[in-house]
Amino acid sequence: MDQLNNREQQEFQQLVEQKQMKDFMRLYSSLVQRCFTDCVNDFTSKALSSREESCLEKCSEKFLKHSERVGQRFQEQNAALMQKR
Amino acid sequence: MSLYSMGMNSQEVDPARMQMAELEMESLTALFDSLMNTCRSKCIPAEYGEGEINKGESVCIDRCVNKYFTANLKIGQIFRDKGITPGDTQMIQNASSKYAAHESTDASD
Repeated sequence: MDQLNNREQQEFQQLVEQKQMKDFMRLYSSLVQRCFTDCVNDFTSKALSSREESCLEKCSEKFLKHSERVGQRFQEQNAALMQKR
Repeated sequence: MSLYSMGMNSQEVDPARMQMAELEMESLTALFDSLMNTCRSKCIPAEYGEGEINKGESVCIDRCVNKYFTANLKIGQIFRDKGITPGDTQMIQNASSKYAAHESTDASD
């Protein structure tokens, strides 16, 4: 990726921004799916119970912290790998 | 190769080079995605007493990411050793027959 010239870098940057938007949407929908699956199992009412709500809150907090931590470790590993090349 | 003969100072946008860069980014994103989902199901239990990641979970995540990376490299190496390429339409069959051949000569690293 670092072998691109300036114009290519610019074009690539646009691509990255588009992908970031897509990634964000994907992260969001998988968060909703995961936390809904783990927290909401009772369908005797159409409203979220307070227990379900608090579970969703904690679940999404944890989900985000998890992806943050994985992101950090991922970057470290990837940087180490690039240096070895 | 034409990739390099053009030179990096050229300001032409080379579609082939752009495509390579895009592929590289996509493969990295795919790795990150599967890694995150896998380590989440392995390290984060589906009960949410609190929103924080506890000590044990953090250690698990760190090790999981490390191991996933290593496993990824390891399997990449196996593919290279066997010469499995995207052109292999019957990749699975090839892989299993090559695996039998590989096992008997498996002495490297």
